[in-house]
Amino acid sequence: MNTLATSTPAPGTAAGVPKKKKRRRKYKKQNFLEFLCTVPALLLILLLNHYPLVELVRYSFTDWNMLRTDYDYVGLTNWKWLVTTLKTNHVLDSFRVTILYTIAHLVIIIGVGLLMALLFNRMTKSFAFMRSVIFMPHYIAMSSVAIIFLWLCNENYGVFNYLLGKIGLGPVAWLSSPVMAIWTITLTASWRGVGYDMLIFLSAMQGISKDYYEAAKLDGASSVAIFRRITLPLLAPTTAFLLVTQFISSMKVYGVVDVMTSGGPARSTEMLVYMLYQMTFEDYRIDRASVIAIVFFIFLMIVTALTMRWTNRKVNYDA
Amino acid sequence: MKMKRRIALLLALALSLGLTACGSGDGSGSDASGGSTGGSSGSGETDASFYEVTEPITIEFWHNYTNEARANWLQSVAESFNESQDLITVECVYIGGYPVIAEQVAGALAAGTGLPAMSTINVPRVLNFADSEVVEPLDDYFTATGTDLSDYFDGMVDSVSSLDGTIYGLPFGISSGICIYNETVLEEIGLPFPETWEEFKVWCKDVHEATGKVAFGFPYDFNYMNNFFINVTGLDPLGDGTKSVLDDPKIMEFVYDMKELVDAGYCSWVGTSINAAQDDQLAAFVLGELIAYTDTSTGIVKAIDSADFEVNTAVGITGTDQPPITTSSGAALVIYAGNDQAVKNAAFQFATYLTSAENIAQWAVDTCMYPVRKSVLESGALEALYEDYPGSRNVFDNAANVVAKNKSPAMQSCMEVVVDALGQILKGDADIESTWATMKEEVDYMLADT
Repeated sequence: MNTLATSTPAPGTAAGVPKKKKRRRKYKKQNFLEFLCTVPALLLILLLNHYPLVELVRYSFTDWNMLRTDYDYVGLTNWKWLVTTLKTNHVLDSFRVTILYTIAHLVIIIGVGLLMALLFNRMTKSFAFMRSVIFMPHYIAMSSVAIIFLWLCNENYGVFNYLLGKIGLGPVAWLSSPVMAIWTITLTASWRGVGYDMLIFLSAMQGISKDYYEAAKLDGASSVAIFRRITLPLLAPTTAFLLVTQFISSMKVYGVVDVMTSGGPARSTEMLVYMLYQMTFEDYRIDRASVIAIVFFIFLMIVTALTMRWTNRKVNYDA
Repeated sequence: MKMKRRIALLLALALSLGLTACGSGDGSGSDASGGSTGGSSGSGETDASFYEVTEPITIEFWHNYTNEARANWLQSVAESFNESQDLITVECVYIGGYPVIAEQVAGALAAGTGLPAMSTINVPRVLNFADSEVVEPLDDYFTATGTDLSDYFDGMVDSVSSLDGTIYGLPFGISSGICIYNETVLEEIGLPFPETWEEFKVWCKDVHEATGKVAFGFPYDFNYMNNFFINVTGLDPLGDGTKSVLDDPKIMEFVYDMKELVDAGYCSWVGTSINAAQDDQLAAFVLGELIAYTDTSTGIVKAIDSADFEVNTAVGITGTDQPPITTSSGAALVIYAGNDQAVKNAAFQFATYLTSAENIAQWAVDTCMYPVRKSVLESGALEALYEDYPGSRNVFDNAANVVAKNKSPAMQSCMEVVVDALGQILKGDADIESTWATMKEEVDYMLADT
């Protein structure tokens, strides 16, 4: 590591040539040793991340059902199934629902998270307390949150409908209406997630140099202009980070669906991962589930890559 | 450059090792072979010694009973079994619900290790497991040990048997869909619970008009709606298991009838999933907002314990000249085929011990699950239960009419699709004809696909 710190003899000198070679060899050896240090981690990643992925691809060419110990390779049969039964296999429906949930969830948690960060960007004790209150739901397990909201949203005896009734509004079928259920799930997950985004935005805001704001104020810029011209652009790397990481996690939503609706009513909340689970462990069709999982994986990879590419071009990381 | 090449080489080597490992899986990851045949001689006779336990052995029994009373009961029976003989030690392990047991079994099969000797599993899954030779066919065990199967209710045994009659499990925690109603209110308004579908339609209207409450709750549940389809129309909606009869005029008429009843507010369609439906219906029933509903037979306990009025039960509502049936749900005991013969033999001994008349009587009294043996019902051992939970008598008296569900491996998935469509029609404003036709197409595809 401290190779570069040693004194460098003038190039081309008689003493410099063998020393340079020696140094290069030492440098290479050092690099190799460093690489060796990463090998255990690398092997673990290969074993736990990449090997299952390879297996998944293999399953997609078999007729394995997880219960049988034997199976046959069936070529592209499962891939053909995905394409030829698109109208009836509900994969597209699930995909549509998942995308809808993801977009709504991202808009809410990033939008509200940013607004809250602006609101709570005061370093006083009372604001610290309020921030911790907002962040608190993130400590609760998703399944616990889902169970609480399951009862809050109960059509007949839930608190929400009781309160609506108090102001003369009719009961809302929060979970039993195919139209409402997806929004109820989105809001539930967002309630838990918004505090995290707020905290990330807040820490990014703390990192923005005060000089920018002072200069803008001296120039007579309005608060809106300061937000638009300084805060927002300088928060872009954080926004990009949240966008990418939470896009991926939102697309993989499972717990809240499992507890609150089991994909119902009428498949209106059947997200892709929930569908994959059902297919694998209820219908014992891991062969077909593998195909969907691979397509899903490729989709996530492409979207992530495009987003990263776009943000690398548009987002200014210098500040 | 060389360093880069070395790194690349190492990575490629590691990846190829992974690929080699994948490639070596020739599709026979475990030596577990489904079903023992060692006990049958060529002449078809069964060698009883093959099914004996000759050396000390410890076996694991996985169950799904999170309820403390049920889990404790199982533990105490296991302990008394362990004390009753010297060779077998049974360890009861709570694993999780049925899906978790199924997951763990699949995991154990894939890993080639960790399979329990036996477990409880939900009845529809028994045939899924049998289809993949995961569970042991038990006919030879019955023959070899002289187990008297005639004492078990035929329909319950049939529910764990394949189409060719091979038995893959022992009925144990059997429940079924029934109707639960508020007897106090019905007596007050003089409208006894109906027996036929035609009476039911009028009854719903009358009850609603007399009480202002919802007369009956249809649940978002394939089990109970399956019973309704069969009882009201006389048809199994999934036909012979290869092609559905969902477009039969009788079934369509039933759907239109239900739509009319729900739209009029006489009946309700409850829940978004099975669990939600059960909780919601019970809450509405206890609060007096719902006069009657359909639930699992074990639901009597919760209903009676929670309600401050008299509760009674009916098996179902028939639309034909046949008495109502109810299809078998709940749990069966299965023995896993991938184990050594000694493990399977020990498991069979414990399974028969667990379902002995004496134990089954106690199990029924403690849990309100069906006494799966005829002799228990005739013995008068259930009088204590009838006294505490009077509605259970109607249910258990009908034990002989508990029948197997459709034996297609896709039964549950198909019926869930049917119930989804029903939900769209009854709860939403989906067009009946087109929704039903699309659903039928999907169900027929699923049936043909298995």
